[in-house]
Amino acid sequence: MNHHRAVRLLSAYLDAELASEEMAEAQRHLADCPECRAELEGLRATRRLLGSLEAPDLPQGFAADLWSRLGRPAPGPWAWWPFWMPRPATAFAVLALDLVLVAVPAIRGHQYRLRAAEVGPDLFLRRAAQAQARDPLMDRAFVGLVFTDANLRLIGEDPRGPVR
Amino acid sequence: MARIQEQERPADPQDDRARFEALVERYGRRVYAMAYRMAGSEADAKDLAQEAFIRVWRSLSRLRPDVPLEGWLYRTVTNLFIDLLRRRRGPRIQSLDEPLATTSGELARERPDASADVERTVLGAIVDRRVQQALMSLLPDVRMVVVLADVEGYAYEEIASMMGIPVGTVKSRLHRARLALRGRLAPFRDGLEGS
Ligand SMILES: [Zn+2]
Repeated sequence: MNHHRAVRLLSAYLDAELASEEMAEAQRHLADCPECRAELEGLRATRRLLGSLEAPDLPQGFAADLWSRLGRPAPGPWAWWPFWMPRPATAFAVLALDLVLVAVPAIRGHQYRLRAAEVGPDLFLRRAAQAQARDPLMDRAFVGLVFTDANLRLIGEDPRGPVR
Repeated sequence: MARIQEQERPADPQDDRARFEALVERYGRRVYAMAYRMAGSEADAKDLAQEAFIRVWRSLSRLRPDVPLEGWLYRTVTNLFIDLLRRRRGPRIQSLDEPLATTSGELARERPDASADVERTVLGAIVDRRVQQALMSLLPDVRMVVVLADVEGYAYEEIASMMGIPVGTVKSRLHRARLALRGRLAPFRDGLEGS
């Protein structure tokens, strides 16, 4: 194979896209021709550079735009979910709220009973009444109902609430 | 057996949508990337990629789920790009100095945490931009061959069938493309040599 022909076949040689006899001939020529070897390396580096390009990300909203071009609203993540069935996240949230509503009073009640046993019922009630009377969100009428207005006055709390 | 079920089952629109979504998810980025390398602008690339997927949607019932769609999609994008060039009447020659829409913003946004990564990403974005500019300086027919061969990694035979040209033409166009790019990209290419 002469130099002129070899030079034209270098890309195909690089890609191993030559017939086997041509591959062998090109290889023999390359062994004797530094010019072709340099040319081949340049082509190889160019191919490598092109192969190293990263795929750009899809533009934002690609799928949504595609659906609108198809004349359909983009399906949300739950499009496949039957509407009458609670979605798992919703179902879980409802279950969690149920648990909280049941568990918090139960645990609180248990803690109060333990503390009352510890300090004695009188002191516990007194402290509880004081704490509740100071709670800015607590309804005074309710505290009075539980502890009686007289008891609140006894511990120095005004049943009608702090003077504002 | 799966195919028999396929035919017996009545068309379910929910099912089609899920299948289509999965296809966009799976092939969207690569199809868009190839369109971008060919067309050189994000707007054209998006348009071409979406047009290709619209064709997928229209022939969804005829596409067999077990056959990879890649070749079909690439062929479609290639043909759509040829149509686009025809509509615009002839190749648009782009100057190497002309600012080019790139994805560098996207790339920088991709990994905002590590500074070394950002540096590498910025460098990569510059090289990417230069390579894309060099690609755009080629004639579209030549560019398509080199994108399919060297960016996407297709064999000559596959490219010939995608573009509807003889293998010999693929061979000569690819060689021409590489020779042109080799000259234009020498500084970046040599920088890459060590790695
Ligand atoms: Zn030679």
